[in-house]
Amino acid sequence: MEMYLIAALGLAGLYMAWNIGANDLANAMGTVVGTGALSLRKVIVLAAIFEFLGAVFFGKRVTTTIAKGIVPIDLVGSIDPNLVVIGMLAAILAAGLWVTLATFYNLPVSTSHATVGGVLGFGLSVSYLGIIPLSAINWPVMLRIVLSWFISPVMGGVLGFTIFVLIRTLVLHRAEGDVEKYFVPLQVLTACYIAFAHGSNDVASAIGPISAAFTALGIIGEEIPDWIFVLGGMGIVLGLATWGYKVIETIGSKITELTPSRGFSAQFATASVVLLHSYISLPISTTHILVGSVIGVGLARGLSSVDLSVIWKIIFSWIVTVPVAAVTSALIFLGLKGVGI
Amino acid sequence: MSGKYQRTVIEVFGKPPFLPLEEHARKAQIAACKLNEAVQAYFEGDMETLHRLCVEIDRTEEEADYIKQKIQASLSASVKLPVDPKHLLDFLTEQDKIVNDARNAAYWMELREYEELAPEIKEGFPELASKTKETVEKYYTLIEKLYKLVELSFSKKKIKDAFEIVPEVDRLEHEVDRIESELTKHIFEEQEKLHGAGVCHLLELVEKIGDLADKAVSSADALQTMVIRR
Repeated sequence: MEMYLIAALGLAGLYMAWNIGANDLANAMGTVVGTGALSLRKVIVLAAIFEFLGAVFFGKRVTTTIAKGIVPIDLVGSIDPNLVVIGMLAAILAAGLWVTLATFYNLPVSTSHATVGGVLGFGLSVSYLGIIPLSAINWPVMLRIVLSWFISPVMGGVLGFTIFVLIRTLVLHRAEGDVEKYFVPLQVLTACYIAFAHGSNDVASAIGPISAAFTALGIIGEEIPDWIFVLGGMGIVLGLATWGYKVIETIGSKITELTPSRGFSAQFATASVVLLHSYISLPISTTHILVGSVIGVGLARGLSSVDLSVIWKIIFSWIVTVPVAAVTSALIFLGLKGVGI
Repeated sequence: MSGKYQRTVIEVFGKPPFLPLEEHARKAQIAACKLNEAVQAYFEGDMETLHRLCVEIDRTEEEADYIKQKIQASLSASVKLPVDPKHLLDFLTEQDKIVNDARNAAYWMELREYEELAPEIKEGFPELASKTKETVEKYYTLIEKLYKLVELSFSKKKIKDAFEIVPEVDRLEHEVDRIESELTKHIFEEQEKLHGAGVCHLLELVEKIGDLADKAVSSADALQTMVIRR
């Protein structure tokens, strides 16, 4: 039985990683192709390298938050390790299902939000079953995470706004002739930066639940080993290479007005905010921060037009994602437990 | 987009109205050229060509209206632009009048035919139409330069450079005014031969053709307001 569960976890994790690479990473990289700074092929190669580096060298903090920061996995595992395995499988399946559904409807949902919702759903179900008290769930961490979902896109906006205003005042308005071309090599750097930042935060959605389950089973120790991050990074790169390129093409072909200086501002802001959250161990949505940063550049009159109605779609997707993922996760968990797995 | 397995940030990028504004200005320029041709044909007595050009100007006006509606539709409350949308709409309204005036002038000519006219009038009108066309064309070069600069929020210096075209548009419009006054004088000198209706018709035609140049000037002003008061 255990072998099947491990295999199921691995497949579900791979599917999540694939989704993250296919959509979220692709969005972040699409803006680079949109400005013409890099060709599609080069973007994919760079993204693959830096996403991987970010995941392996900087992914630990957020992964630990998802694995043990919200639900007291060690406590549940000491009662019955199987509960953790089933619970984490339920969490990742629920997140994967919701992300799949939302993607079909082109809703800007976040894989991080869905995974947090899934893990929370598991925590709530074990507390419902009386295995742990409700107060054992780490509500202060949960609150910090949810707050960061509101704050991080705003931070992206403020930073994007500031960077662009600085560039305009110091460079664009002073220089004679076209200076946009100088931003092209800079954009190559920010492309690497954004891929690295993305890897450091988003790999957690794919491997956080798996790490928790493996720890409970004693496959890995308290410290999450590197090979798990390597696998997570590979899954994401696979998603980018097999599907994400289409998303990059869609974005690249439509964002023609994003010049290198604007693209640089938005990406630099996004990557910095994402990396900051990786540092303080909070799982956030790269895509939402990117939208915030683009709006910031737009409000600094850097874009000929930004449509703010997308903000409502994002807020709606926040409000819906966590409850839906949590309830689905709880139902899958209780269902799996009910049939005696 | 529904149905594709994609989540993208594209929606945050609105449809910028500056390229369509340039397209709209181009319609004004086309209309002014066609009106010039129509006036030449009319004073050569070629009513057939006049009629053909009238139909063409009418079509140009319809196309301009379509672009105008597209721009208006893209300015929903959630869309943020680097310029005040109210100024943008004021500017668009002014620019739209150029095409409308061209159509009015063309139709006005179709209402009446002249057997014989004094050479001052016969030559004065084509001169007026040609100078009007020149004014609108000069105005169009300003738009061509500016729409890109605004879209990319380029340096203030570049925008200032582009606005150096405005005094040239003003100067051309003054010349149009001068030709108008002279033509008016000639029309009154010929009032016996032209009869009341003829005088009325030709005076009104002078007005209608000159209107295009006036509107080019007021569009340039509205454009300046839009760009400078960002």
